[in-house]
Amino acid sequence: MDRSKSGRRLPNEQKLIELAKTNPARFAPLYNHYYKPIFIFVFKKVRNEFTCDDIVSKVFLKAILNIKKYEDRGFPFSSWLYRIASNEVNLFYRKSKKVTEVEIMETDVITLMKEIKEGDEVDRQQVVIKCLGDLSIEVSHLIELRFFDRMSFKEMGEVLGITHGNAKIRLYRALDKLKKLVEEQGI
Amino acid sequence: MKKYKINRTNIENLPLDETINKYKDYSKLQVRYNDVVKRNKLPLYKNRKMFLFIILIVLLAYLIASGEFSETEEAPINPIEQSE
Repeated sequence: MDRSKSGRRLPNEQKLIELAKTNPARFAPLYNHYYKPIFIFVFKKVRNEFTCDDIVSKVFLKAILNIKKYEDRGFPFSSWLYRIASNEVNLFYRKSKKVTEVEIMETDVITLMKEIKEGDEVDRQQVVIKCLGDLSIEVSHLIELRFFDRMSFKEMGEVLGITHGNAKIRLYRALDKLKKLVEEQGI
Repeated sequence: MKKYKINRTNIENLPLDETINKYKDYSKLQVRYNDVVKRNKLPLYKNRKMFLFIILIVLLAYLIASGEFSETEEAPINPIEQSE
């Protein structure tokens, strides 16, 4: 996954976090290391440079303001940043009144369709992504993390702040909802 | 509101490193951080300890001032009345 390649842990990360907790001016190494992976993560969800910049600025501002509250629970620091980023993206969509077009790769759609056993025909793909857009932000977010961000259940759990087992249960419930919606559309 | 669109080219349109670096600005983040931290600073009177301290100073100032006034308000002894 892209995230594990570019978002790998910094050497002495725990020490840097402790330094940033005592003095937020020491947040720079964490910012410089995680800026790119967070930018790409957000960009994939909004597909607009300016919106992405705005959201990423908010993510790091929240991180620097709340770093004192950060506790190491065995998850990497990046998962905490991804969680803030996910919440900010969801907030952006909840507030936004205009429709934003999000581009997804055909291969990812095919993987999703195989998971809900809907074949991979082009016309069916259109119905599935339309139904995906009709789901609530929270439900579609789970599907995005798994199929478009290509996260493992462990990584999903880290980002959502839940166990990997719970992430798996929530994802399958989300897929059931999607499947029902697709069936209602007459496929 | 979100609408999904399928990219059939199988080439992911991701921003280049130069584009990302154009937006990466730690000094901007620090300025925003300082703005938020300063703006959220509690005024002195909203801090319970400082509020009590201010009350104490005002009370002391009042007591000192009233003490000085009571001293000056005492009428000087009239030497004529004294001789009578």
